Amino acid sequence: MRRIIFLMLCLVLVAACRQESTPAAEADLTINLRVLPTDARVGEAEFLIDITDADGRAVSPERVDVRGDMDHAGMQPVLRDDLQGSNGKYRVAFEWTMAGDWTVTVKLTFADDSVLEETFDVNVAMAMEEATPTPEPEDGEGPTPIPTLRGMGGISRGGAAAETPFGAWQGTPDRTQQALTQEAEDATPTAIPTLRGMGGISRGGAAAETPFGAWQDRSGEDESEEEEEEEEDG
Amino acid sequence: MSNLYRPANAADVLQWPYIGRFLRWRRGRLALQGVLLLAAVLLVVDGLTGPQSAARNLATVAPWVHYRGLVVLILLLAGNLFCMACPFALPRTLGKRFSRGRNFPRVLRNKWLAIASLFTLFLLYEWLDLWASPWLTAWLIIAYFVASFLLEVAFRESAFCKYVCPLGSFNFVYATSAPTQIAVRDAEICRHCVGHECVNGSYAVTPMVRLDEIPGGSQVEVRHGPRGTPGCGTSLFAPQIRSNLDCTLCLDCVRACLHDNIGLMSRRPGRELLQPGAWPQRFDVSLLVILLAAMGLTNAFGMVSPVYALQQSLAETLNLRSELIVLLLVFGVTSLLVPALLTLLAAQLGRLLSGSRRKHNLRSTVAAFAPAFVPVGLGVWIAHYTFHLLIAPFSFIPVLQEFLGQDGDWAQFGSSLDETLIGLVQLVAIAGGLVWSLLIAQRAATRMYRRDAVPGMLPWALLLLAIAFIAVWIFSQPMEMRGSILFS
Repeated sequence: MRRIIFLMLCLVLVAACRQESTPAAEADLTINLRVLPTDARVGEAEFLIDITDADGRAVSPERVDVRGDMDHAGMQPVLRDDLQGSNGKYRVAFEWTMAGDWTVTVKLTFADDSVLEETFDVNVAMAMEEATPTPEPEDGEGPTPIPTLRGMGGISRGGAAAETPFGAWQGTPDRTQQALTQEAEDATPTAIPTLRGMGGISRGGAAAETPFGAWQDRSGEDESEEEEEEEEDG
Repeated sequence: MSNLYRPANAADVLQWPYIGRFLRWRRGRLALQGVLLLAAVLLVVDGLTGPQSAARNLATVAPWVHYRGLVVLILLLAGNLFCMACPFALPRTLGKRFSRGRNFPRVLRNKWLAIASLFTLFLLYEWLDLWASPWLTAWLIIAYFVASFLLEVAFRESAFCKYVCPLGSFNFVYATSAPTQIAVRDAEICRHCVGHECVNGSYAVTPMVRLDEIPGGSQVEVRHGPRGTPGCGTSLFAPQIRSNLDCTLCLDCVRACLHDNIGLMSRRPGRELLQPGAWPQRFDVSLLVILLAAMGLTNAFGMVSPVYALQQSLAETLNLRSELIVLLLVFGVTSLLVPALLTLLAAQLGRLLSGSRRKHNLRSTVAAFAPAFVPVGLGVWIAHYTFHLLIAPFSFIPVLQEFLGQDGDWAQFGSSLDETLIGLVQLVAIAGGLVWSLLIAQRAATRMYRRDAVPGMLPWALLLLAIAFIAVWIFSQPMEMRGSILFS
């Protein structure tokens, strides 16, 4: 019995070895995740990730990884490792492999090996023929308005997305996409859901209880910030 | 003592090298329990302190994916090995020291409580989304330990294992299809045994020596004492065991038998399902088996999208606001009420069609056909649980790596087996279970109705076919796992 108790204590100590990543919000970083198509359904999708600091300036970590997990344990995760992007903007093709509640985790690894994580809950519906196809940006044309999940632990389980308070579309527009998205933004001024970072991996079902972030409209800051960044880069 | 039984042509697993020696070892079970106890502690620690993502926490991955997937296969291929190594029985052993020595209430000494506990577990699974919550799963494990301990303190026999534990009840039912069974080597020895240590144990506060006369003129010295072994926790008398129902494979009877006359015998898989009288002819036992097959369907139904449409429709039609009430309605009707009514209807129709209403009463008819629901039910459970197991069979490795502070190698170990293969496994499990069930039903009908076996079996065959077809329909639906869509 003493051996068993000793082994159990060892296990508890081993559990303390688990790597703990810092939630992005604690590091004053904001991760915006935009999911295309907006009406998430089984099939192909696209993620647009936008990483900014507290001042809204773009942040480019050493490495960005994305994974999607079904709510049910043991389902095959969808992994997208080492995303390529620049200036805090990343775009990656994704696939919702089945309907249900998903948790998308964006993991940022910095040069000093520090790790930040943000989770987003996404509710994925069954595939339908009439489902909105993923907009393919073409030259001169922007995608349809995009809901931006702003690192909050996201849309709560069970279709509660409609109940979440909508925030303004936030974050510095992607320079490479700015021209593409501008037309769509102008044409559709409706509020786009923006969820602020909660950080970490949320407890099952607890996402709905988290406070949502304040409405922050920084659209007026975008240009000046970009100019500042360009000056810094230069 | 007149009804002694031993399976024919049995090989004794306990005589096998290494395995047999280990199992017969006095601390053999404790060693197995110790391993699972450590696993349980690990699950609880990770569930309470680890990341609350179901896919990345041992508390959800190990029990809801690997344990369930492996246990149904092991039950079919080997026997009730989980109960043998059950860690929840360890605090039970501790609790025995404080036991008040009362008998479990007579009114509860049946399988109705087991049916209720199984239904409650599956209802909680849906209501609380246990599959998605490491934290709640950890508390469920703790609750098991506490319940096991308290019941052992309160009552003399192993009431938790025999009457309450939903996992044990599940294992008891499907271990009836196993190729192994506890049995005696020589029934004559049991006939002359005085102490019946297999059921009474060889434990005594003060040492005692007794001489038993054995056929052939020999004598065996029987020693009881503080280092003695407890007898069967579920009060089974080894020479009369004809079924794996209620047998936890603890092997206490083997260690307690001072004549070394008990073994873990091999047998034809599911042999007892073909033997009349192997099971008690009681409604609670019969309905446990039949309703468990129905629960297999409803548990799988809970992971496809039509269940959400049904819940939505019920909530709107009946103007219900409570998710628990809606789930209670859906699962109460589909896994308890309808199957119970259909069982009684099939029995009544079978008696009518075979013209044997006066010869066989409803209870004995249901009892005769209940074993036929074991293979098809097990087929449904295997189809469901192996699906989860094979979708990411090695997912526990990266979860364990992350638990130990490393980066989980999800790219290598998180991948699924071929979907066609998984579908094939599911189809084989259901079809195989159906064929096996129909054979058992046909044997039961022939035994009961003779020349009128075909009409007498017809309602039961339709019921078994319905279970298989519903299972195929459910598993052909795309999976959709979500929490409440109604009341969030």
